[in-house]
Formats: sequence, C-alpha cells, structure tokens
Amino acid sequence: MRTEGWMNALRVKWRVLFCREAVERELDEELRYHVERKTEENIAKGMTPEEAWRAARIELGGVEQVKEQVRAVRAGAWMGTVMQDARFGLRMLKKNPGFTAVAVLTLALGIGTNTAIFSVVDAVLLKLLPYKDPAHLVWATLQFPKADMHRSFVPHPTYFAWRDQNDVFSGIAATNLGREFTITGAGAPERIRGMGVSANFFSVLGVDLARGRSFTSEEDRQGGPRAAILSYGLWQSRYAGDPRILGRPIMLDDKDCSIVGVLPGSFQFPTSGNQPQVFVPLAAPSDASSAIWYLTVIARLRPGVTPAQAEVDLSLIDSRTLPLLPKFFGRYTQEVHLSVVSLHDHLTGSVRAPLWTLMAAVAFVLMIACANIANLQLSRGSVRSREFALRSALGAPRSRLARQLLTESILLSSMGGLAGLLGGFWGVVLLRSFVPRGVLNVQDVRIDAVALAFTIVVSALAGAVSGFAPILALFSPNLNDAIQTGRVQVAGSRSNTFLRNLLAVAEVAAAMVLLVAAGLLLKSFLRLTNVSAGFDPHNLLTAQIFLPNDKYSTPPQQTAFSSQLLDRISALPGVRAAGLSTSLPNELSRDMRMGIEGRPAPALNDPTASVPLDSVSDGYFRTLGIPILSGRGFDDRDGPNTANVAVVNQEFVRRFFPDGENPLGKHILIAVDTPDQTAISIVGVSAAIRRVGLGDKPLPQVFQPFAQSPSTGIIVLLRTASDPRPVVSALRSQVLAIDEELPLSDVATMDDLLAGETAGQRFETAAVDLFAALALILAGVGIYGVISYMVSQRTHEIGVRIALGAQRSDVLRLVMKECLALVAAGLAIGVPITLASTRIIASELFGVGASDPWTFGAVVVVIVTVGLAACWIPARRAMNVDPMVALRYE
Amino acid sequence: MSKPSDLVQGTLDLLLLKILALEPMNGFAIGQRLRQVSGDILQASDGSLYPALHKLEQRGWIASEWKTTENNRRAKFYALTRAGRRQLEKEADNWDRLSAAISRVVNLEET
Repeated sequence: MRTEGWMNALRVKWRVLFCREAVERELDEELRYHVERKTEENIAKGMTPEEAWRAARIELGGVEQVKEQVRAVRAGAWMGTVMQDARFGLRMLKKNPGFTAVAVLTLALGIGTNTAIFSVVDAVLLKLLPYKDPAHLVWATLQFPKADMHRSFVPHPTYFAWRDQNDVFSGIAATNLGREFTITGAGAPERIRGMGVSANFFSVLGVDLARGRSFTSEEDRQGGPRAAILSYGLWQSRYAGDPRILGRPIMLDDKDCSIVGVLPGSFQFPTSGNQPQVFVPLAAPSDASSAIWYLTVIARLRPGVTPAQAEVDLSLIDSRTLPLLPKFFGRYTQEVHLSVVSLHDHLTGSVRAPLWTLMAAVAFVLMIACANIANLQLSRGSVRSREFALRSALGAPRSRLARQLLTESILLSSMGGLAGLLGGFWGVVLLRSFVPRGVLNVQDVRIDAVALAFTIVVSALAGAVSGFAPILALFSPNLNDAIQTGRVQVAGSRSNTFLRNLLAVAEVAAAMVLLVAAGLLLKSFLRLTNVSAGFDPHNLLTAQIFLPNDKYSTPPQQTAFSSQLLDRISALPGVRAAGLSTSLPNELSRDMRMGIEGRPAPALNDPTASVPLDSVSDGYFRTLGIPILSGRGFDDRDGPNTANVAVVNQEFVRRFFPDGENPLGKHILIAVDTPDQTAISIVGVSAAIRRVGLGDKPLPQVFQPFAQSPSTGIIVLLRTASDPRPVVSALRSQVLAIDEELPLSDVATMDDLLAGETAGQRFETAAVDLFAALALILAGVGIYGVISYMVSQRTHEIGVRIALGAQRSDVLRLVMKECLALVAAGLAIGVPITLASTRIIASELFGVGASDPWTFGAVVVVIVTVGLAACWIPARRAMNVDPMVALRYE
Repeated sequence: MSKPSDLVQGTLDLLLLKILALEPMNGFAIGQRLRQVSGDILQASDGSLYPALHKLEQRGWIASEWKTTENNRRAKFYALTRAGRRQLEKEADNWDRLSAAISRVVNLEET
C-alpha cells in the first residue's frame, strides 16, 4: 500500500476506462459485502433474515442507485453518455438502412472529393519548395509584352547589372532556357535535356551536391574549361552509379566535358517543365554584342527584404541600364515590366487558380451534400417526433435530445468520412495520373497526415452542419404540441417547412454556381481545342530519328538516308502521305537571323530578324495538309546541286513584305552578315500554322528542302488513312531495314501531342464538370425530397380538394407551383453569387466571358428541367391520391 | 436521497481521509466507525460513502486492495496514500480555520 498516490490514481483511471467489466464486478462485490455485513448486523438486532436483507438494502439507498452514483464520479463518465448516444444512434441508423446508405454515400462523395483535391492542393501549393530556407527565394524577370515568343526573360546585360549593383539579394543566379544535348560515349547515344546554370546556382538554392563540386567561376566563363554536373538519375541510368564518376569525360554534342559533380536524388530543378538531366556552366558572355538574351533569374533575398522592396531596388538599376541595351531592343523596351515574385508563387502560378477552383468546386459539392443530409434528417424528424416527444415527457432535457441528434449526424459523417477517405485514396491515384506533369511536387501527391487531419475536420464539420437543421427544428415550440396531441406534426410545422425549403433553395443556388463554372470551362476548352492549328492533326503519326554523327557525318550520307527512308515509308500500306522535317509542327524550331537581299542588314541580335528555320522534305506540306497559297512546294527538282530555294509562310510575308510586294523570286539571306551567309530564293508561300500553344498567334517561318539542308535530327510525319498506331511497327522495321542500329524515338500521334498541350485545361474541365454533375444530382434529390415530403404531408388536404371536385390538373399545378417556386428562388439567389464567383476563373477562360449569357441560360434550363423531373414522381403520387383513402386515414 | 445533505459540503472527504489515516478499512467498517466516533450525529448514509471513496481513490489520495477480513471474507480495503496524508493535513487546517472563524462569528456578543 505504499505506492505513490498518483501512480495508483493513474492505474485506477486506466482500469475504469479499459477494464470496465472487472471494475464493475469489483463494485458489485464490494457492495454485496456491505449488504451481507449489514444483514448480519440486522439479524443480530433480531430481524428475520428477509427483513434484515431488505433493511440493509434500503439503508444503502438501493444497490443500483449507488452503482450509478459511483459510475458518475468515475473518470471519463461523460464518455459513457456519448457512447450510449452513439450506440443508440447506431441502432437507429441500422433500423433505417436506406436512409443510412444514401446519407453515407452522399457524404462519402462530398468528403472523398474534398480529400482528394485537398491532397493535391497540399502537395502542390502548400508544401515548401525543397530548398534551403525557400521563403527567401524569388524569381525576378522582365516582361516584354510586345515580344513575339519569349515574353518573360532577363537579357544578360540586365542580369549582370542586377548581380553587380543590387542591395537586396544575398545571392543571385541565372539559368538559360535549356536545350537538348546528344550524349555519346559510354553506351548508346541519347538525347537528354540540359541546362546552363551560373556557377553559384546551386549555392543560391542551398543545395549540396551528392558528389563533387559545383562549377567554378573559371568554368562559368566563355571559353573556360568545359564541365558538367549530372543529375542523380542520369548518373544511375547511364553510369550505373559509378563511384569514380568525377573527372570522367562526357561527350555532349560531340564536345568533351569533364564531370565535376553529381546532384542528390532529391534535387528538383525549379521548373514547371521537364527536369534537366545534365547541367553545364551558363558561361554568359560578358560583352553585350554576342548576347544570349533569354535568362531566368533566381535570387535569395537578404533577411528582412520583401519581394516588393527588391522590385524597387531592381527598377532603379533598370532605369539606369535598360537604356544601355542595344538599340534594336527599342521595340521591346517601349513596354517593359519588372516583377519579383516568390519562387513558390512563380512555379505554382499556372496551377494555383485551377486548383483553388477545384477546391471551391468540391466545397460546393460538400455543402450541397450536407444540405441534403439535413433535409433527409428533417423528413425523418417527422417519423421520430413521437420518439422525441416520449423521451421529452420522460424527462430528457432538450439538450440531451439535441446531443443525440448531433451524435447521429457525426456518426453519419464519420462513416461518410471513412468511406470518403477510401474513395480519396483511389481518387488520389487517379489524380496523380491526370494532373498535368511538370507541376513541381506532383509526385508527392498522397494522403498524408495533413490530408487525413483535413478529412477528419471536414467530416466533423459536415456532421455538425448537417445536424444543425434538425436540432433547430427540435427547439421549435411545436415539440410541446406534439407531446400534447401525440400527433405527428413536428416536421410539418411552419418554421420547419421554411427550413427545408431554405435548404433546397440553397442547394439549387450552389448547384447553379458549379454548373455555370463547369459550363464556362467546358465552352472555353472546346473553343481552345477547336482553334485551327492550321494543319489536320488527325491520323497523323510522328516519330524522331537521330542519326549518329560518326556514321552520318556528311550531308550526302544524311540525304541518302532521308530519301531512302521517305521512299520506303511512303510505300507502306495505310500511309497516304509521308514527310520529314526538323521539328514537330507544334514545336518551335531553331531560329536563324535573316535578311532580305537588297535591303540593309538587320541590327545585330534584333529579335525580329530571328525566324524559325526548318528543313522539310518533299511531301511535308501534303502530309500535314498545309496549303501552298502561291508558288510551289518542294519536289524532286530541289536537289543538293540545284539552286537553293525556300518556302515561306504567310506570317513571314506579313513581317518582311508588309507593303504587298510579291515575295516570290526574292532572296532570303540566312545567317546574314556571317561567313555562313547563304542566299535562298523564295519559290512558294504556305499558310501559317500555330506552333506554340493553341492560344498563341502564328509565327513567321522559313522552310528549306531537306536535300539542300539535311540534318541528323529527323522528324518523321505519316498521314494515314485511319488510326495511325498500327503503322508504328512497320515504320520501325523500315528504319531498321536501312540501319539496324537506329532507334525510333518519341513515337506519338499528333492528336496525343496536342492533347498533352491542353492536358491541364482538359483535367480541370473534366473535374469541374464531374463535380457539377454531382451537384446537379444532389440538388435534384434535394428538391425531390422536399416536394415528396410536402405531398405526403398534404395527402389529406389533396384528398379533400379532390373530393370537393378539384381536377387532377389542379393538383398537378399545386405541386408544380411549389417546385418551381423553390427552383426560382434558388436561381434568383444563385445568379448574383455565380456572377461574383465566376470572376475568379475569368483568367482561365479562352474565348468566352465570365458572364457568358448563353452559358447562364443553358444552366437555368438544365436546372429547371432537373427540378421538374425531380417533382414528377411526387406530383404523380399527388394526382393519384384516392380521396376515400386519404379521408379514411384521418 | 443518499446525498450527505446534513454534512457540510466537502467535509465527508475530510472525515474519510481522517478515518483511513488511523488504519486501512473496508467500506462497511468505515460507515460503522463514522457513526461510532461522531456519536450518530454525523449521519452520512452508507450509500454516499462509496461514490466518495471511489472519487478519493481516483484523485490518488487513497488506494484500495482486496484483503481477507477477520471472519474470512474478501473485502475491499482502503488505505491512505502519501498524497492523501498531505491532503488530509491541508483539509484539516482548512477546517480548523473555517470552524474557528464560524465559531467567532457565532459567539459574537449581541449588543
């Protein structure tokens, strides 16, 4: 008995909570001992055994009562009543499996979609970037709204000025746009994505290399020693994680580089695009004349400096240095905006609005679900009013009844939450494959502790919200009437009906918001995908071939290969036309500086003089279906030994011959003002196609015949009669028949490639449409519930009306009027809310306004239709009321 | 019906602690001893003893143990813990102060 008091107390509490039976048994025994001793005492006083026993128990005050009092002082006594409520609630739910199933399913849908979308929001928007002290990292850029292609970049003189003159950054680093390298030596040639980074890039991010070191400033200098840093993935895949990798040579585009470092496996390059596999020094030229313009700048703020302050500092530098940029920049610098934003905001910028839109959409779905459950419970309230009246009469305080209702709601929402969580796991797997790739952290999307906590909170909230209305109804004064009259009246009371109608109206309004948003996104998406790319993407197969430099080093070798390939694949069964190119029709090709013969040469590095140049084979225009507007396309005449010719597109004509001069016969100077300058004569003008992003305008373009400007990188384009996929194996065997060591890479249909570009919009549209459909169904169920309850409540009245001569059509009108009133009220409330909320998605819409009247109109029609359909069943029931039955029931 | 309404609120705890400070005892015996020492003036009903005992046990002031009584029957015996002894001293002090204050008030000379 010398145990410390608190330890003993802990033991007792533990036993009370977890060894309930043993504790009860001991209490029983303890009291029995008391009664026995007392009985003996009473017998000794001269009572009969029977009397003695009775007296002992009376004196104690009733064994069961004492037990109850002991239980009441026990630790966690309140849990007992909760458990009791829960057990009773469970029994009630089990007694109504239909109600329970509908409610749990509804909540599971609402909660599951919330969990799944939240897990994406959490991983993409809420998690910190995987760098040291990421809150201080910013992305600084200049925006050139007047530019043709890249509208957001930092010219390197500006980067140098920022780097040398700023007072706000503790470090500032730059990368270029990155490009593909062919990597040779140590295994088969490969095309990999590479990125030029300044020497301090990794230290600004605060990333330590897994092996080796970062670039030195010596390496980060034009003409400095060539070095490379490998991504962990490339080190593993190509070098099998060779521990002696440092110092080994690596051939990038036939240039010998030395491997100086390897990045850790956890490293992610800050991009919303593809991850680079190899890094090389940026080696920005220090002299403005041979500039590379397109830099991306990432900087680390000094402690206490905000992005806005940094912006002010940089703009002061810009005001001194921008005028010093080369003259041709004049056109660009008429309008320049500087922006410094946190790196996190920059990387998530394109997905933030869609993700919050989805989050809002699922929140609406959950709200509608809760309103439905509340309504269902209100209907059931009528059935349970007798039970509550009885319990109330027996002395249960209303607070206890309210707690019972709340417990039941939370039970329901917990079950819904659990089912929703299971659905959420599945949904996350689905989301991970649907979410457009390239979003940083997307591989991290999973249901983790945070998402779990979110689900629990949402479930509890849903329970509280959906339990609120029935509790409100409980406190209406009519409960007393119900007790007194014993009539089932509670849920039919005026305030109750108002509550139910209000819920249905709210559901209609919420569904309208979702439907309009879904409609707008759908319309915008259809607009976007219906934009004519300028060529026919259907039944078009694309593939890439890279000719190894050692085997195909001379133009004749390359031409021989391409003409043989073209002959073979054109003859394949199912192929209507075949063509070769140096770039995909939906991608940018390399730029060349061009001038027109007989005009002054364009300023050095004038961006408007840079025009995409491609080599294409005979058949290219026919294969893509690009019309030749004047002159001719390429054919057999254009060989290596004939005059150099070019086809230009309409945009080129618009830019270089704005005065309506006939371009045919004019000469373009390619690589103007360099030793490589060549003149080619324009023989044809083609229509323009949209190359970057369907939302963008077409760019100028020059085509050369493949035979006159062959390349080792070849894009194969096949126009097929039907689905092009079956042709792939034939294509592959034709390539191998020419050279059995040549791989065919990046085989894809044009439809898939274009779909990939709009994958983000497609995903958001599909998801919001799905949620809107859910909302519509739920709102329909809600209206059905209210109307069918109204009919059941007024069966008697309807019977009397019919007995007094009302026509079926009058009854129908009565019900429909009620229904339309609900829908109309919902729409009236919904319109302003919708107008306010669709504004947030306005920036994501393409070719359709946020308050598009057609979409609003269509949604109104859909909601009214669904509302009427939902009323149809109860309305028919009302029309078929037999007055005799209805009256006899009274 | 078994609330110790005739006892000053909270004094039952003090009485139980004091009785158990003398020796470990079972519930029945505690009831008997209470009547005995107070000369039947403090009428705590037997039924009110048990909730009070269980409460004290959960607070860690007393501990229980099943033991065999003198006439060979199992009964639950309660004993004071060290924390209980401290509590007893504190409550006894309180009681002394309170009763002294009350008696001073009661004994005020009426003028």
